[in-house]
Amino acid sequence: MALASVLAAGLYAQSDTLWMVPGGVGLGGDTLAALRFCATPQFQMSNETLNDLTSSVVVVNADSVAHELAWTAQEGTTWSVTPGASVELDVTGLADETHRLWSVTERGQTLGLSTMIRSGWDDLPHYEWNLNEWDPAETWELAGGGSLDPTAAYVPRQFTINDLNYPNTLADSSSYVQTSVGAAVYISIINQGRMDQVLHFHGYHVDMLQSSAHPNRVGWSKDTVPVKAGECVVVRLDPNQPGEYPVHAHNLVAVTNAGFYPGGMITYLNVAP
Amino acid sequence: MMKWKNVLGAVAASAVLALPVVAQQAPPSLFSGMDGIHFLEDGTALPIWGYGWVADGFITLPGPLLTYDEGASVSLAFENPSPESHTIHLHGLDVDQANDGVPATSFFVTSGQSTTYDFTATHSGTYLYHCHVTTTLHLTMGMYGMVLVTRPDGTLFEGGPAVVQDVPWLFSDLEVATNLNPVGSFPFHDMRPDVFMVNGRAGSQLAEEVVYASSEEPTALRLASMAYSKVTCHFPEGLNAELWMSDGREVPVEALDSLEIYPGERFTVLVQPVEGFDGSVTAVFEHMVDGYDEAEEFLQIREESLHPSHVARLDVPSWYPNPASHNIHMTESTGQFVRVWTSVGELVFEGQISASGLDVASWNNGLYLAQVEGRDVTRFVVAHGIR
Repeated sequence: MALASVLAAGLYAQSDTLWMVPGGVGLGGDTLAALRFCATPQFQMSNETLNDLTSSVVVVNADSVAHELAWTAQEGTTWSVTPGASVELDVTGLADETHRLWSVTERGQTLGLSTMIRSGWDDLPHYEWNLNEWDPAETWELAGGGSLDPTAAYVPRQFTINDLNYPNTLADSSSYVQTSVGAAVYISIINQGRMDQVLHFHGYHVDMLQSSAHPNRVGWSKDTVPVKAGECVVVRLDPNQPGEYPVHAHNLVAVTNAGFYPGGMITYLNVAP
Repeated sequence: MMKWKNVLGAVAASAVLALPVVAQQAPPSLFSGMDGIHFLEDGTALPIWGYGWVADGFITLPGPLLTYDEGASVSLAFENPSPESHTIHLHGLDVDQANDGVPATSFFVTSGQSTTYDFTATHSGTYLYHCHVTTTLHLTMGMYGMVLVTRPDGTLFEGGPAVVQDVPWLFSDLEVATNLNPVGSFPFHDMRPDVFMVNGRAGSQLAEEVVYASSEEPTALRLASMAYSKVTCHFPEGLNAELWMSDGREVPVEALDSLEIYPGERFTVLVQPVEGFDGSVTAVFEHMVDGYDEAEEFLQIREESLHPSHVARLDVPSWYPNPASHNIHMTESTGQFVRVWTSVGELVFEGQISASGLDVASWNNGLYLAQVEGRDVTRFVVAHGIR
């Protein structure tokens, strides 16, 4: 389906359509080339997430090159989308899980074209954390039509939750958890980056509801939660004490912005009495 | 209440506990320092920052092991005579905000200040503590240690199995260039560790150290990571390794041949080797960014009947009471000559053992090594004010 036909026919509600849009972002003192799944044809800072879909999601390629899309709800299948074209993903009967949708191309991966589509666990407030790490030089190389040197060292220098790094994570209502004692919340976490991450929760243990890399850990109570590259995790937080507590990467290079501490993958849990 | 039996059982059984299991005061009192020295495998004296017991006056890598009984109300005293601010974050103990050790949400302990961290040790298990000031730097400089919360009956948790000894293995790493020049360590994202440790030791420093484990009752390996690397432990067949706990909580029992430990995670693994077992747990350190295998450390475990002094050890009297606060005795030793050293090798006593034993009332809290003439070196602990 061509982009024009989607726009003209208005067949899909805006929330069920994602546009793959190129742009640029400022992040922790660096500027990066970026690609995002957006809610409109306009570029946005953070990838748009989708939830509670009923029939399908249309993904429109507004980038200048073709992408190969994959998502975890249909492992092993990819969809090729040329510039201006779109693909429709059937979400009928989607299992109650948090899924990852991403471009498997080098350009898409490096520029951050990856997001979350979740289903279920909607009886409580549900927060969404897309984790990623960035090497600005790589993003500009790919944005300029180049490719990565496979022999070059990978040294990311920006680390983000929802494409934002601390302290800007606290201005993001999906990163900054605000609840009260006894009021449980869900948090879906996807590691969209190339390196493994591990998040430490201060003040609380969380219950593991989903772990695509460690399915045997569903039901565990953890305060330090690994999220492997590409992994989808869902946890439930039942706050039993008030206060403001950090949640942060415990690979401590990832709590920096361009080498400065504190930054990177840090957000907070704000629990009212 | 603090807990001695299990951890000290491990001390007696294994020299691998280089983790400074020196005696813990009551109330415990830690201090932070930025002028410590840690000896690397090649003998290099490396500057470290870290924690130590106030009574000892020196810091160690890692910091002293903190042990508490489950349910204890703890008031951890902390002094900071160092030139910069530090804190103690009690990692995994789910303390309240005021005691969380995060400067932005609780408080700094500035140079010259002292404070207490108050919390309840609600769940038995394996935990960590570390400084949360400029954490990326302060951790790699050495400001961390392990916390064990145990149960008086020796069980892992209510209704869980009893263990005969706890063996703490704290995995960590450091970048030599950073320790040599912490001011020049920027940028932090470029940090690449080059020393990979278990209880502060690496390579040949671990080669002569062995854990002796019973084939009849389980030994608890208390595994925790403060590394910047992912650590994967490989458990050989015959060790009968089983996972029982993670992050201070019970998990479904699972037979293990390997276990990944990410920075900040903790696991309790029970081992009960077959008779005659003689092998190693291999710990592989892998870089978190590029997955490069950085190092392997080998942690030797032998079934206890292989202990070289196993037969004799059954007849060798030991010190009692242990820990002691006033007089400590050894059977059939009155009149014999004894030398006693601190855990860092300072001779503190030499002479004959009187009928009333050794009077340690004026000795500092700590771990001591004693050699009664003609016998193997033994260890005991002096701890005043044990509850």
